[in-house]
Amino acid sequence: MIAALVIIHGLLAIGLLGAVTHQGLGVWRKPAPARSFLDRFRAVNGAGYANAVWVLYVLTFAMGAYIYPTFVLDVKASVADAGMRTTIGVFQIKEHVAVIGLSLLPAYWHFWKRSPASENVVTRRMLTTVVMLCTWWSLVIGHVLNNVRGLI
Amino acid sequence: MSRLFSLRIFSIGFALAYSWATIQNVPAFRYYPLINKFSLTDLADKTIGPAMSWYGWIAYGLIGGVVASVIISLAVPRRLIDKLWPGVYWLLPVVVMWACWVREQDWFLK
Repeated sequence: MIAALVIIHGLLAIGLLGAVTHQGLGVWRKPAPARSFLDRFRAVNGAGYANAVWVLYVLTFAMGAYIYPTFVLDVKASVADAGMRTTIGVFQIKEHVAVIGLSLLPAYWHFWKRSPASENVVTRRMLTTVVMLCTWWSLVIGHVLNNVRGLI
Repeated sequence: MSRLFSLRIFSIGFALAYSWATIQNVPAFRYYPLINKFSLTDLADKTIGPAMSWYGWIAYGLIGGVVASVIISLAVPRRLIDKLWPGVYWLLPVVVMWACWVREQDWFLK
């Protein structure tokens, strides 16, 4: 059961990663014809991703919070027994980074959906970038830590 | 969002309350996964396994966000909230990361 939940958590995170990366790279793009693959990847309507990003973020966060006790009892204990304190510390930081993204979501949504597209461009850009970085950090560290359990 | 609730202020209140609770290590409650029990106090009993404070810190973040949002939305005119310096939203991650480091540095330094 827990394996299925971890997989669902991972799939939600990957969906979120795709949406927020499109949007996060898109906010830094200057309007111009999209010629390269990267340009086409970034040439999206960012506002169209805002609802998907906050919904996927909350779902991924909630799923992660639900399975977290199992991680604490199983993975974290094994890693601690192996003396890998830095590894645990990195995961502990992940939990705070995930909260940073969560706390910024209401402001993020406001600036995407309640603010005119021509206003607050820099704020929208920075908020989106932070949410994107939080997502990348959480997914990469979570995935690595999950694998570490199998290596010790 | 409305006259009674500002999403922007909620974000600020959430981040600051979470940071405070994390630095002070005062979760609203603790969860003991080994015995599947929530507690408002630190049970400080090694036989019942580790205590998880993270949910309790988030709870204080949510409470702080709602309280700050409602109070400021009622007390401060909307046009002033609209003029809030946008750099606030960029400083919030720094504040939370600092709180995070205060709480978690022992994992790296000891």
